[in-house]
Amino acid sequence: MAIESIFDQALLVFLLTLAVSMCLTLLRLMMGPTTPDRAVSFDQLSLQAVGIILLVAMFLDSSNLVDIAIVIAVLGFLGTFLLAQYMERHEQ
Amino acid sequence: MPENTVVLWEWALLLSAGLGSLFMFLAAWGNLRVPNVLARMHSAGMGSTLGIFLLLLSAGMYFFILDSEPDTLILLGVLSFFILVTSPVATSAMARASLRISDSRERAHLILDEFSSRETQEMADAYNQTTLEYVDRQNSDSAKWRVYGPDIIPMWVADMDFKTPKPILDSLLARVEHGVFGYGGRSEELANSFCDHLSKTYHWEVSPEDLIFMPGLVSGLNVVSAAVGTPGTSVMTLEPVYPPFFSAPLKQDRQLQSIPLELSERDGHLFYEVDMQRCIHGADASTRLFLLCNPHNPVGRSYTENELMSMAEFCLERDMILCSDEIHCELLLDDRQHYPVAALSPEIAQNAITLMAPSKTFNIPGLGCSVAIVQNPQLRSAIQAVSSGMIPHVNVLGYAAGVSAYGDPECRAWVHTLGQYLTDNRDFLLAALKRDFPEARATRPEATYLAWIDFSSYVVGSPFSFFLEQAGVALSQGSNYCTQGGESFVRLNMGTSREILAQALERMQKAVSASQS
Repeated sequence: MAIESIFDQALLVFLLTLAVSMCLTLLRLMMGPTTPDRAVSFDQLSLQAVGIILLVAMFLDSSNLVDIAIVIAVLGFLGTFLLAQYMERHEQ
Repeated sequence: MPENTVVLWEWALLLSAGLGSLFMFLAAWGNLRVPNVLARMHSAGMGSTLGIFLLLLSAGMYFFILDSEPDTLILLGVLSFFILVTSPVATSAMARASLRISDSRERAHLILDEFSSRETQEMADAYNQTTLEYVDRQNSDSAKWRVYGPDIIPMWVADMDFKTPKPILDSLLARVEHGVFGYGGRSEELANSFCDHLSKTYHWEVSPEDLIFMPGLVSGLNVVSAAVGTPGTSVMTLEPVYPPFFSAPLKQDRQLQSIPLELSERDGHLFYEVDMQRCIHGADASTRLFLLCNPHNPVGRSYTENELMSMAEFCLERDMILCSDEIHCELLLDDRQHYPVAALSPEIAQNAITLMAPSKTFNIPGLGCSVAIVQNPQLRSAIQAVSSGMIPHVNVLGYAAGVSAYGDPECRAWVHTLGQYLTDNRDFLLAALKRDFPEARATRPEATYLAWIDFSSYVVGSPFSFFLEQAGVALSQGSNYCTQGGESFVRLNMGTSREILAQALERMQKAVSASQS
């Protein structure tokens, strides 16, 4: 069945899509112009990173990577939440 | 598991992963493309969440069904649950934070603002309710309406036919009530509120000492031309441009180096941009000053950060002073953003003179109040030395109007409403031109209420004289804005009510069809 080779190639294409998405989000992160814009982009970057790890886990057939995805998700959430708290306190 | 079922699962998995990646991509694209932070949050939040769950689903299928690793499934379940709980929490925390720190103008876009105090609610209402009031100025002291007589619709000199916002009127009335009009001193109140305005609007930190108040922009151009360089040195400018950009240097015995803007067509409209190569070739050792008009009168460009950066760097390299006339900077169409060139870097600020004024924005040019922002102390004293004794101080009413213009939040709301009205006027004008003068070539102004139109396909000779004599519409003659050429162009001032604009265009259309039959 051709599905085996299609499978790996499709995963590569999806990885590429996510990599391009990350670049777009990085662009917004750099452009800003406001701190909230950057916080939103940071949050999005952490989700994209989780997505990439999941795809890589399937690609390499390595379930250990899911642990890393969890760590990134936790750090992403904490980062975003603290950034939001910081913005609110800082501006008042 | 039978082979067929495995293949089916693999396809399902790929479909889910593909859709997930697609949504992640759309979310990133949306975050980049949509205009403000709350909208970006929507795109980034919704799209990414859907995307990540589809990816989790595909990972679940992979590890559980194809790989038979139930332990991984538990981890994936934990991850899904975690994202399910934290994603909305993070998004609402960010939304609340960005709403709290946003200013009232951004909040005015909201339909429901649960975090607003009474004041911000009133501000939002003010934004939605501010209206422009058209005033009939026939038989008034207006130069625009006086020069060509009663039957002519005037669309030349750049002021508008709208009443100035109420807070400015109130402070003028209060100042008149005061009854004494003795010598006025420099208004520190205006200096402070203007600096606040620069900091809030452009994140540009200017100290009140950097401001020199002047009674008008044209005096400003003359003073700057006299203060920079010596007689015989050259001044560079970009044409077509407001005529005093030519006359001010010449009056101060400077040589004029006028560089044509590069003209192209973009989406069926004329588009002017700066050709740096021409500037580099046009400059020589005698060039001491670069006079920039941004937004550019009459071509309506609001220059981008990149364009401004290359001009500013060119000036720094050549050791030329950059003087930027930004008097139209608040007349922005399509919610565009203005970049003061001096705010780009501290180095540029030390090399720049910026001219601004409340006059165009709030329709008070008759009050004679404008300001030069000069952060370089040596330049500042050179300008003060030239103007002392030659240039009068700003009059007390001009100061009074300026203080409300920059200090009163209602005036911000007015600017917002004005921008929308002018944007609609521009679109109305372009639609009418497309319908009645399909061969005419016009700019699509990004800022200002000035359109720059080439009527050579309809009028032989000067369209200015033709429309004045045959249509009773007074436009500005294009050749005045150019050192050579420009005869087939006119500048049209659309800072008036849409009825008047429609009437003028109708008269112009009738005159052209009468001349063609």
